[in-house]
Amino acid sequence: MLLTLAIFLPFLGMILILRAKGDDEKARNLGLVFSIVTFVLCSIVAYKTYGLESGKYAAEIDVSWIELGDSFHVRYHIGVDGLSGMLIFLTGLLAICAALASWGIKKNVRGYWAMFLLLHTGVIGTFASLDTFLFYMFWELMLLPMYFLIGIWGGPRRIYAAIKFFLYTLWGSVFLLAGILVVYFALSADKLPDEITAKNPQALTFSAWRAANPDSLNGADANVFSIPQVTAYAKYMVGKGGILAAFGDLSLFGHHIAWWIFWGMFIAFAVKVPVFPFHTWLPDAHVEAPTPISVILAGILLKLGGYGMLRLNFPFFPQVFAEAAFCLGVLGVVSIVYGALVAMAQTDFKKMVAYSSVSHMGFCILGFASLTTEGINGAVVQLFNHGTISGLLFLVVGVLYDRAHHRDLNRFGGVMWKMPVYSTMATIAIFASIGLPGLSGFWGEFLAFVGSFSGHYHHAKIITVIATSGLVFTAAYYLRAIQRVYLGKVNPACEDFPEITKREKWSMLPLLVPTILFGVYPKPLFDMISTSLNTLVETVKQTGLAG
Amino acid sequence: MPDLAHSLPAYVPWIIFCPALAGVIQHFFGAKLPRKGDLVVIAGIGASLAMSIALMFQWAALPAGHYFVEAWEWFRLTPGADGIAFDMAIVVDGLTASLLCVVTLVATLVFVFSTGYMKGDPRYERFFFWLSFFAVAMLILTLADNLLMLFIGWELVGLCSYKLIGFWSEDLVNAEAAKKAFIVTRVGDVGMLLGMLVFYHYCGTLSMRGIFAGVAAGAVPATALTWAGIGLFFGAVGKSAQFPLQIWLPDAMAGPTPVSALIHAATMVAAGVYLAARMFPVFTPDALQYIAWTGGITAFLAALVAFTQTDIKKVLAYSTISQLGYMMLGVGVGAPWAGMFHLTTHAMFKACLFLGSGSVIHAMHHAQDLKDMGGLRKKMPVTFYTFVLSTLALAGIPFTSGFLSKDAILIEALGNGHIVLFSLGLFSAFLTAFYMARMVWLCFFGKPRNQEKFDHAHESPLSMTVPLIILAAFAVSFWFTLGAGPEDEFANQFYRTPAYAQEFPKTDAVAHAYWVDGKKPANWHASHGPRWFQIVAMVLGLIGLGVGIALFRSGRRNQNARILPAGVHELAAGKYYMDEMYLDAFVGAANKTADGCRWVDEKLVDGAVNLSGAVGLFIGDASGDADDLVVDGAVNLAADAAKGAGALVGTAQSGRVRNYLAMAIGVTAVSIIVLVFFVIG
Repeated sequence: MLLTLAIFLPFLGMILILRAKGDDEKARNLGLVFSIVTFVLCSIVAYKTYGLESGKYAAEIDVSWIELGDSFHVRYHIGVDGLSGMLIFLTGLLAICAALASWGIKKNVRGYWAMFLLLHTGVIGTFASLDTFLFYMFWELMLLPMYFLIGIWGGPRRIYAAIKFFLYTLWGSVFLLAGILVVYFALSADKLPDEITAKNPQALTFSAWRAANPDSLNGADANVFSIPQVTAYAKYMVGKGGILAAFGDLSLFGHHIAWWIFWGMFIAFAVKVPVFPFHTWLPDAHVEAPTPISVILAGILLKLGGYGMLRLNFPFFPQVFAEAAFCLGVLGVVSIVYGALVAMAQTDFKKMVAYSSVSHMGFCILGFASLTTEGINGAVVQLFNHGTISGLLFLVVGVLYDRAHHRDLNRFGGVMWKMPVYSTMATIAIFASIGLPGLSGFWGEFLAFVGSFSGHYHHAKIITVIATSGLVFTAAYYLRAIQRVYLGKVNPACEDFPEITKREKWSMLPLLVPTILFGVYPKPLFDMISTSLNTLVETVKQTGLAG
Repeated sequence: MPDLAHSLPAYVPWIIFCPALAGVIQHFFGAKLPRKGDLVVIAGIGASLAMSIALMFQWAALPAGHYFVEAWEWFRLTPGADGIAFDMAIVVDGLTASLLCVVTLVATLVFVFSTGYMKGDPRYERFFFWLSFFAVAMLILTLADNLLMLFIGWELVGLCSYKLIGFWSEDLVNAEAAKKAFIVTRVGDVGMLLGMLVFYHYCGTLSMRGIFAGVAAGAVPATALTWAGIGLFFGAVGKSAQFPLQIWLPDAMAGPTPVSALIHAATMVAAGVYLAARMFPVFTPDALQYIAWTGGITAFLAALVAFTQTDIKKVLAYSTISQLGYMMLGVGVGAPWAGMFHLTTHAMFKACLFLGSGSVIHAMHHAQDLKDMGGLRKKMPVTFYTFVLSTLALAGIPFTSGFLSKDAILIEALGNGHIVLFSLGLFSAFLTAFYMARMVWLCFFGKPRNQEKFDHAHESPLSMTVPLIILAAFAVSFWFTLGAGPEDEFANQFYRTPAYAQEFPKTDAVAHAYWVDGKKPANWHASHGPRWFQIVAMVLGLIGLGVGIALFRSGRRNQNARILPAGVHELAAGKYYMDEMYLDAFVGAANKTADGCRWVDEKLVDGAVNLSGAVGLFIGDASGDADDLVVDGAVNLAADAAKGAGALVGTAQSGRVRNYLAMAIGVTAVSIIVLVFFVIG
């Protein structure tokens, strides 16, 4: 119930705001109140995931929703484990910060807040879904408000950016839906071809497997859309043909069908992450989006990509995942180094931060590719910490933009002496992003490196060595930015910048606190996620390709 | 094997917490406290000093080879006793105890000195906050028994160094120096990180105990071990400003002088030596060769540059680089104890020299070029005498601490057969005496060269002179031979018995025996070594001093006089043109590559995206609808935007938007159907 409330309370808020005709102030207050309540609910739900056993979910609800024919049973199945719990908590946290940063929105206030809240319904719903179809519905639902938030409240080229964002993500989603449907067809076929059973006598069809383990997974009926069931079945079928065993040895252009579906789904999520070369929508979207939307975009929407990989892509196709490790590693390292280099060449502060996101999300891919406990844990912690840190950085840029009305790094100077409190917060955010130990950004990078160096694919060590060069480039572009904006003599144009307001400060503090707290004491994060991730690591280990 | 580990005394973590707490209090309440809270910070580090001294005695009371150690679990990735977990751990052995005392003592004195030196600075309280933060980070680094924790301290001292070099960053020159320091040392840190990764890969842990055990058991293949060692050492190369990453330290003199004394002379830059000494058991002979040659070359090259400098702090900076090279040389030739010994003595006399130069700079109203000085000995007697005493120690004159430690390094180099490195070191010792004599003479003797500044000069207040006197006192050899018999002197007690030495006997890969059996080679100590060496070293030092004084005494040569042969002078004065080379080869190349990547990103990667968008539109056009749906839809979207939120949810004419959405979803659906049929076949 709690989780359902967390998902649909923002939706309720949206309706209330739309009914509050002509009253902008009321819409703002309603938006903030609903964000805060959502945050509280998200925190409770996240807290409930502590100490959960592997394969168990907190706040789980599983009821029938759409029933078509014998096997097309879409269920309203939601629940959270440590992984989704952590990201739901992050969503709640960023909702408050973004809400506080939205006070400056003057155009179409009610519409803005309505879309703002609808976005959260989509995001939290996606994180909470344990049904592939439900997952897809929420995944698509989230696109709509984001499209409008960029396209209406954005900067000069907002239309271009919004359409690009929309079509790019939609294009990716096609592959996701195709994947979901192929899995559906394979599992509901309820027969295995002879070539599979001949090679693997123990291979079972989905329903037979479910019938053989009636008590597992809360004793639920076999359901091909159930993420926990398919995950467990995929684990069982490792080395026995995988979940697409029903298609036998069906190959396209020399690759097995599972390979195609894995990479198709990967593209869907890679667009969101974003992974090179699918990242070019990101700088446009970020530069055009208003500050709070940039915060959510970088802080949460990018995480959905990584989450989708961990929830659907990797556990459904562990064999292909393990075989793809080298390609993933290459994609990761290219994102890291290339993203950092492109960031280095930027003169627009916001664009620089946007490319730094490409670079930092590359650590997630690098960590995934390692197939090791350290690497995958590091990647997931990076998801959370990049969420807070990049959110913070976009707020930092936003504060500056509100005063200067431009983001050109070369037209600032000496802001430190005019806005000491703000500049201190900005410096902490930047150093967290550089990966300074003691701040939360360090752990993800460090563990991704640790894991990646022990990665189970060819040239893992060389790839890691190349990736570490990103550390130097990152320091270079960030320190250059600090120098140009905050240090030196006060630029006459910055002479009358007022210190940050209380509201601005409060929009940054909820992100600053976890940045420092989890930097010093990361244990709560790891305690939360490690159980869920260990299951994945075990599954991958069964392929024999990971240690 | 007796159990050598003892549990840690409960107060040890407070050595870190005290300055941390003081820093926090000062940061939040500094503005309201009297004297902006500097006394709180001094009390914090003073408490650490007291505890460090107590800890040193407590450790010394243990039987030889015993140590304190304790680990706390930090976070855990997999459950179970053999699960993956990361620890925080503290070890206290001779290395820790001595460095702890050095750090806290120098820090306390520098803090006190700063109350005088920084008086009246508009950001006085910020300065003390960062000093305190630095002390905390340095203490974390010192106490760590775990490469992860050490790395954290390592990076945090780097941050403090960045902040304090750029303390006056209203001037972009200072900000530039700070940035350079951070980025150059980060290049070294990448090497260190890679070294850590290798050890983790093979040993499955980052605890030093685990790594030594793994190495002793042969878990790390020989080649990997060499590279891991060089990787770790590369971190030290960055932090301790060794060739080829030494370029940041002279620029770092842009920071306030107390910072130069504490961070860039006594403690942080010496951390590299500490790392090399602590991790000594993992270095293979090849890695040690690399360390030794890095040290020897650095010691020599930096000494040459010191001749060409006229800025009093720059001379000291090159001298520091040179002396750090000595310490590395000691480690590299297989005598980490000698390197650590020199670290200790150097910390005292070099901090004294830097603070002395600070005292001079303070008196001269922030003039720090030798051309403005001269004849100051009468005006500033305390500064003068402490400065001279420390100079003698730096020159390695008998009865000073520097004599003991420098000789220890040189004789080890000789005793272990590194003839070339020994000669290089000996020659550098001569150069050191020479350039220091030059500097002392130009600064304190002769006629004032800037009468106006000279007339305003005055001895510094007690808060600045008392630290000078205390530090200068440690330049005398007496303290370091205290209570030591001929066979069992100070350096031996402290540095020859690091933790784990007995527990993890060396393998063939780790060839150097000193740590392990505790036996001294025949020519171990100077008193057992060849007499001719000591006499040569002493005479060279005295000649160096004499020549330095003689050349400048007559007044015929001024501060700009060239001492080195013309070609060498040009090269040294240009700092071997390494800055320019790096700017061209690395910074320039990185910037060009970055611009190239940006071009690729905008034109090619994004170009491909836009092209496929255009192709999509074209195909749509063919169906006759696209223009209406997409382009018009987009334009109308903008119009709708202005019409209010109501339009959005469909109450007004948002038909176009809906058309657009309908098309998008339709396209998706069609694609899916095509795909599904294609796949399912």
